Amino acid sequence: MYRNLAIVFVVSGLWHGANWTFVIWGALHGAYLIFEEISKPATDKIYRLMNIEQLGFSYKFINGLKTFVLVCFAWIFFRANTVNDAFYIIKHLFIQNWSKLFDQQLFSLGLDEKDFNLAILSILILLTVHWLQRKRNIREWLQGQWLPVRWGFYLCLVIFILIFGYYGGNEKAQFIYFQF
Amino acid sequence: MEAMKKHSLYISSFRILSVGGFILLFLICLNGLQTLLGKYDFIQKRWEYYYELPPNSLDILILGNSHAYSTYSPDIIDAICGTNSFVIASNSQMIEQTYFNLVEALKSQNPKIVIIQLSILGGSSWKNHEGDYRVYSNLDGMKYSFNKIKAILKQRPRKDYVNSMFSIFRTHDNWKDSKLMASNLVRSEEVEKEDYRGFSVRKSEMGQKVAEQYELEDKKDLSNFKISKTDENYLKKIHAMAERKNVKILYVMSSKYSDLLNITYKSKYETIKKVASKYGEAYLDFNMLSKEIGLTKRSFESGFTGYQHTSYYGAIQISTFLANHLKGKFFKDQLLNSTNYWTNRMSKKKELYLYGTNEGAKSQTTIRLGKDLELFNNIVAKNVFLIKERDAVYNLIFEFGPQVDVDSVSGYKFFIHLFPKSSDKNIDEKRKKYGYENFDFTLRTYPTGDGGFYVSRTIKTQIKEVEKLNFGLRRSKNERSNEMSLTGFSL
Repeated sequence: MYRNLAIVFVVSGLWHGANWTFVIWGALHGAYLIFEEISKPATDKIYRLMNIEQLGFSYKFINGLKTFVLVCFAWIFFRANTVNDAFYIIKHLFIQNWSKLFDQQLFSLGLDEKDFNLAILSILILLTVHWLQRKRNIREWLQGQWLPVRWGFYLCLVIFILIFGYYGGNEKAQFIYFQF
Repeated sequence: MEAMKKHSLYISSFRILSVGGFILLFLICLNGLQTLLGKYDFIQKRWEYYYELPPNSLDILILGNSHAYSTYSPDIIDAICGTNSFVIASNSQMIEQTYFNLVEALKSQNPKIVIIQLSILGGSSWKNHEGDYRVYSNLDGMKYSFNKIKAILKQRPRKDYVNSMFSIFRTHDNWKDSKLMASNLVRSEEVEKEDYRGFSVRKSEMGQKVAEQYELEDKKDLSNFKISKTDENYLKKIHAMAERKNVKILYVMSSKYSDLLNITYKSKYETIKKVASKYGEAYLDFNMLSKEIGLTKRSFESGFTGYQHTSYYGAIQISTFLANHLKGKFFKDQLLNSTNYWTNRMSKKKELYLYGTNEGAKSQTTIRLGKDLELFNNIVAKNVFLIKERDAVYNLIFEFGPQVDVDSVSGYKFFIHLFPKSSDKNIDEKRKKYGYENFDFTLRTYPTGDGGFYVSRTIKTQIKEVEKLNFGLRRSKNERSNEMSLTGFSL
């Protein structure tokens, strides 16, 4: 099974492009899963010892955090142009330069301050909708509203997209998988 | 069964109405957003004010590129001819734009004469250019119509159709610019609007150094100048349009200093004249008429460029010449039949008092503050006018006759002190301690057409009741003219 997992993920990495960065990205995901399988008896034991209930909030939180960190780490290889670039980023990941988060440098990376704030706001809206969806189906809830309210809501959404949408230039952006 | 049919008919009607309402509401919001987020400029301003003209109130329509809006002053033409004119022009305009602008403009107006500035001939099309404000603003200024769609299809590449039709896709990012949004809102809330006619003043004037650059440059060989097929096709279309609408087309060419110096220019003139005479009433080339008009270095803006425009000084010279030509040929009796609309409009313009001959209209509205006011022995103001342009905005004019040497006033400043009556509490807060508002200005002289000249100053004040208006010339503390005082009048 481990061999199959390794093959599937290395190939899926290669499928994204003929570059070592994609191969490493795929291999890393395979490695994560293999390690998880191998270490499962030990980690289960640790959870039991620490009295962490499976399916409880703490269990989900730790696993969510772990998955997020590992996937983000693998994205370094996916996004970097070369393997050297990826290692450069990794080497500099832990340099203490937290101040850069709070000076204006953050806004020179592609999103200006207002776009950045908008992105944060949009993520918060997305999370709120996601959270609300757990309790009730928003589409069904909206369907039950008075027509002017419902359509007013749709209109607001269209206007929100019109104003805050990111359309890019006149040149059509090439779809990432068109290279295959 | 019948009841069910009725019920389903009721539901589908309701749905159609709802969809229609939603689309209407969406279009209203879209229009509002485009106004709020758009970058407003003079090209759009011309269209906005054009659409607001009373229907069929226009006698003369002027079309073309930046040379059109820098050279032909509708206010001077109207003061002399008794007409109502307007300039619809945009930067670097090409003939395809002129044609579609003409179609658009003739929808609401039926002018007798359309004047077209022929520096639009270049054989090029915006279809092959990246979109920039010069093409977008002109399209944005147009109202949505079938003509606008046709203009977009002709002027923009396929990939830019949506961008050209809906400015929101180009300007949506302006939500970050609160100042721009505020200025757009302020403009849309304006109650009293100026009588803008599409003309733009170019204040700078060419000096000796720039003139020398033009004199020394290699001259373009214009002896083989040809008009492209595209240009001629559009000239044909314009001609056909004019025939259909019973409008006369007068082609003109404003002057450029580099063309005045170019001995091969005559060939270009003759080529254009041949084609323009075929498709229009006549062709006036102000390069060829420069001596008759009296164009000098001052008649051109400063700057060594390939597109040098006329200065305001030159614009006055050419506009008075053009106006007299139009008056003699097309509007001989127009002033005798001037309408209330014309009188109300022109009474707020300095051009009526400086270039106009309609004494009735002048005496009706002007505040003639004085006559023959002697500032120095050799400097006597022939007339002093104070014209109310709009609420709290006035134009103070000092007119000098031909006997006053222009050079004698150079280097002087006018001091203008406006004292309110004690009962008038509208004096500017910062000037309260002095007891008067100050409108000193440096003299910049402009021709009046009869060999004389004038200087003017815009006065923005809330004062209504004037105790006295003191004025005079000064160069230094010791060199001051007689101080004139005009007393007791209302603004």
